Amino acid sequence: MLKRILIAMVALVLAGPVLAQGGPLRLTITDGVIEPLPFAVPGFQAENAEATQVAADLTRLVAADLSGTGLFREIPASAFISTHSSFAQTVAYPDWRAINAQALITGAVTVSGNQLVVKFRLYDVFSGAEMGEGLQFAGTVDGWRRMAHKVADAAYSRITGEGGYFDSRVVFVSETGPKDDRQKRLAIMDYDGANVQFLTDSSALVLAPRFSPNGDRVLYTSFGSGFPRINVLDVATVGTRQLQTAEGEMAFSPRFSKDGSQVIYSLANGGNTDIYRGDINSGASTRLTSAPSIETAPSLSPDGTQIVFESDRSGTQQLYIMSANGGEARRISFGDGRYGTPVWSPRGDLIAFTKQNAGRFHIGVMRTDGSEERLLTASFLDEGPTWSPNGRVIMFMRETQGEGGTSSLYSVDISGRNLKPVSLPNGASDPSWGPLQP
Amino acid sequence: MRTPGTYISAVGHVGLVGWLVLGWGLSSEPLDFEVSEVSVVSGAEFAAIVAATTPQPDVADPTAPVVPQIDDVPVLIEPEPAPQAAPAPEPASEPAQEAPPPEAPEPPAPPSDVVDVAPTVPAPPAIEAAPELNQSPRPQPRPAPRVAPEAVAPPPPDAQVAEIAQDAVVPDAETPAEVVEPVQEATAPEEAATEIVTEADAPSGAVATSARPQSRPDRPAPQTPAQTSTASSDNADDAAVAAALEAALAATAPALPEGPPLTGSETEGFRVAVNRCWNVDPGSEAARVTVTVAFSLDQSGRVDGDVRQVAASGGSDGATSIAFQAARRAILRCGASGYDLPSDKYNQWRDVEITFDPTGMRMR
Amino acid sequence: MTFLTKAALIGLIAVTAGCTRPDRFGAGTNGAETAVVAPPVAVAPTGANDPNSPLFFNQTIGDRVLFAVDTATLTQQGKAILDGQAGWLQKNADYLAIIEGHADEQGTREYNIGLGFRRATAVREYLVSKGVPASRMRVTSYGKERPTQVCSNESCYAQNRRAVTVISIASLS
Repeated sequence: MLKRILIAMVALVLAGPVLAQGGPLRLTITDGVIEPLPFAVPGFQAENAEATQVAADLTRLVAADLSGTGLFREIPASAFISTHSSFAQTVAYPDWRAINAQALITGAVTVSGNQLVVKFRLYDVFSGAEMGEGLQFAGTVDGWRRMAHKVADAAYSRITGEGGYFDSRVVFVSETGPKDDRQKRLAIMDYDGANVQFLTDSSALVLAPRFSPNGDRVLYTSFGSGFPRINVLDVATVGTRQLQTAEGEMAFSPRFSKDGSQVIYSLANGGNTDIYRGDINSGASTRLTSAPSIETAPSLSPDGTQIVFESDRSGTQQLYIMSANGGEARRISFGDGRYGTPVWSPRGDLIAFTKQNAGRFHIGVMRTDGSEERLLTASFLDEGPTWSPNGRVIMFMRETQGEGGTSSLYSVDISGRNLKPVSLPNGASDPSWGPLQP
Repeated sequence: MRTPGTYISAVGHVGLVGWLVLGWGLSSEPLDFEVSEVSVVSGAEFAAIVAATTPQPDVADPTAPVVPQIDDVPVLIEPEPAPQAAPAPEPASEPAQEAPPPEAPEPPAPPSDVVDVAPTVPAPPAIEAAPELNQSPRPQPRPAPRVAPEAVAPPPPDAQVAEIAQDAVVPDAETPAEVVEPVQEATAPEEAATEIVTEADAPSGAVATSARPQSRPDRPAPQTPAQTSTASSDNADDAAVAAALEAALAATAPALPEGPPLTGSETEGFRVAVNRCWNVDPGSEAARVTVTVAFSLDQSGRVDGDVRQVAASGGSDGATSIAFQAARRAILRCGASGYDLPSDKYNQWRDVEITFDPTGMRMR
Repeated sequence: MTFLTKAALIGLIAVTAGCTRPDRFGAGTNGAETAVVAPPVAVAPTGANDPNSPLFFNQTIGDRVLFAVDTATLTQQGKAILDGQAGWLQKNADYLAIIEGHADEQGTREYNIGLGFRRATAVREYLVSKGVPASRMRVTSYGKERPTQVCSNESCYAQNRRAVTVISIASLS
C-alpha cells in the first residue's frame, strides 16, 4: 500500500506541466533548410517567326541568371508535365506543383525589324496565382541580353523581396602578358562576363577603376606620366581627363561621392599618404587625415556621412571609420592579421574587406561597428571586393601564385555560398560593380 | 641486557597493544544506510501505473515520413521506357508532392570552387598551445548545396534526388500483360549539410559525415517491469520501483489522469515536418524577421482555410512579407497530404500557431 | 721525442722557410725576361668603365637598394650603395633622378603603392642628407605592379622590395 502511494506520488511529482488544453498548439521553429528554390521557365513564346532564336536565347539567359545566384534551381524542361506554349493560356497549377516548381516564369517575344518586345509573367505555383503584374519591355534586338536580365531581375525581386542586380555592368582591368611585363587596360562588361569592351589601350599602366553611382563615369589611377595620377573617363565617349587634385607627388585610390560631384582619394606627399576630398570639376580639395602613416582606400557610406579607410597607424593595416568631413577615426578591425580595401555595402549594413593572415588572403565582411566578422573566401591572393547593386553578392579578384600566376574575377554570395568565377577570355583584376541600369 | 631502556620499551609496547585491544576512544558508529519502504503491488496494478506514465513510441521516424505504397509513386519521366499511364501523378500523397525532378544523373556535387592551391597544412601548434586540446574543433560538414538541420549523406551515384530513399525497382520482364508496375528509380534525399560551409572554413580534406546529432525524443524505458510476473519477491519489487521511477523520469510529458496530451515526440515530429519545407535565404533581409502564423487543421491533418500572419518583428514591411510568404509556403507544402498527428488528440492540434525565427540560422 | 729529433725538425723548418717563388704574384717587374713594351697609352674608358656614365652608375655603383618586409628602413648595404650614388650625382651635376619605390606581391594594391612611396622617400632623404640637391630628385611608386622576379617565394620577394634610382638628363616631369 505504501509502495503504491509512493509510486503514484513520485510519478505526480515528476510530472511536468501539462500542455494547456484551452489555446492553440504553439510551436517555435528556429531551424529551417537553406536550399535553392525550384522554378520553371518554359520556353518564351515566339510570336512571329523572326523571334524564334531570340526567344530561345532569352529563355536560357533568364534561367542562367536565376540559377547563377545559387538561390534558385531550374527544373529542366524534360521534367515538365504540361507545357505552357501560349503566353495567354491559363496555368495548369497542379501540373507545376507536381514537379515541385514553386515559381513559374512565362514570356512572349516579338521581333519586327530591329525592334524587340518582350512580355513576361510570374506565377506563384503554391498559391495558384500570378505574382505581381505582367511586364513588357521594348528595345532593339541587339539589346536582348539586357531584356533577359530585366526579366530575371523582376522575377528575382518579386520572389526574394530584394532589388535585382542582373542588368548591371562591371568595369575592370583586363590583363595580358607575363607577370613581369603585364599589359593592363580598362574594360567594361555585363555582370556575367558578356559584352566586353575596352576603354583604354595598354600604353599606360592603369589600376583600380571605380564606377560613378549612376554609371556614366569611371575614376581610375594611371601611370601614364610615370607618376600615379587620377583620371576621369566618360563611359559614353570614352574620353579621359586628369583629375585636378591637391598639390602632391602622387594621387591614387579614388572613389566617387554618392551624388557623383566629389571625389575622395589618397594623396602622397613627402613620404606620407593621406586621404583628401575634392570637387570633381573645380579641384578644390580638403585634407581629411593627417597622420604620419599610410591612409588609403577610402569608401563612403551609402548616406554619405561616413568614410571607412585603411591605415597602418597602429603598426599594421587596419580599418577605421571617420566622419566624411574628417576628424577622429575609430578602429573597427581587431582580428589577427591585416585588413585592407574596405568597401561599404550599398545596403549600408556591412563592410567588405581583404584580410591577410598567416600567408593567406581572404575576402570578408563585417558589421559597421566591426562585429560579426565573417570570412567568405581563402586563397593565395584574393583582394579588391566590390558590391552588387543590391548588396547581396561580392565580386573580387583572385590571383594564382608562381611564375605563371594570373588574375581572374570571382563572385560570392554574402552568405559565403555560391563562389564561382566570371568567365572571361583574358586575365582580369580590380572589378568595380556599377548600378542597375534604368 | 637489562637496562632501563629495555624496561621502558617493554612497558610502552604492552601499553600500546593493550590500548588498541581495549579501544578506548576509537569506537565509532557504523555508517547509516537508508532503507526504503516497500510494499507489495500486484502485477496488473503495476502495469497500469507504468502504461500511464510512458509516452507512446514514435509512429514514424521523423526523418523518413510515411513510406509510400508502390502505386502512389509517380512515374519518373526518364530513360527507361517508363509508362506514363497508370499514375497520373496525384498531388494527394506527400511523396508525389516531393516527386524527384529527374535531375542530371549525378548528384549535386560539392561546389567546384575548390581553392586553386591546395590548402597549406597549418603548422602544428606549438606545445604551449596545449590548452587548445580541451576543445577539439567540431568536425566541419562538407560543403553541400542544401543546408538542413540534419546532415544527409550524398545519395548513391545513380539515385535521383527525392525526399525519401527508395531502392530501384525494375518491372519484371515477365509481366507485360498485366498492369505494368511503374519503374521506380533509386531515389535518395538530396545531400544536405547542417551548416553553411564557406571556402574560408572548408575542411582541408577530411570528410566529416558526423554532424552534431539531432536531439531525439527519449525512447520509453524498457518495458521489462511489465513483463515481470507476480511481483511478490522483494527483488522484483525493487526492480519495478526503479523502473517506474525511470519511466516517469524519462517521460517528456507524463500523463495526467484526464487524458493524454500531445507527447514531446509528437510535437517534435510535427515541428520537423514543417521545418523541412521552410526555406530560409540567409543573406536576405527577411532572414532577420521573426514571424508568427496561425492556421487550422482538419481531422486528416490538412490545412483548413488559410494561413494568417499573427505577429512579426525585426524587419521592414517588405522583408516581413517575404518572411511570411516563406512560412506560409512551408506549412502548405509539407502539409499538402496532411500532417501526421494523432487523431485521438485532435482537439489539441486543431488550431496551431507557429513562430518562425530564422535569426539563429544566419550565424551558422 | 728526443732532443736530437727536435733539433732536426727545427732545422728542417728553418731551411725550407726560405723557399719562395719570386714571381708567385704573377709576372711583374721582377721578371727578368719581360719584353720591351711601351707603357699603355691612356684611352678614354667607355661604357661601363666610364665612371661618369649612367651604365657605370647602374652596374658598378648600383641603382637599387633592397628592403626587408613591410619596412622602409635603409640597411647598411643600402646606405653604402646610396653613398656611392650620392657621390656620383654630385660629380655629374647634369643628371636628374627619379626614385621608384616598389613592393612585393604580399599585400593589397593601394597599400603597396603607399609602401613603395615610403621606400623611395627614404632613399631621397638619405641622398639629400649626403648633399644631393632635393630639386634634382623626384619620387614615385609602382607598388607591386612592376616585379623583376616572378616566383612566389621569399627569394623573389626580397628582390622586388626595392627602390631604384633612375637617372636621366631629360627634365623630370
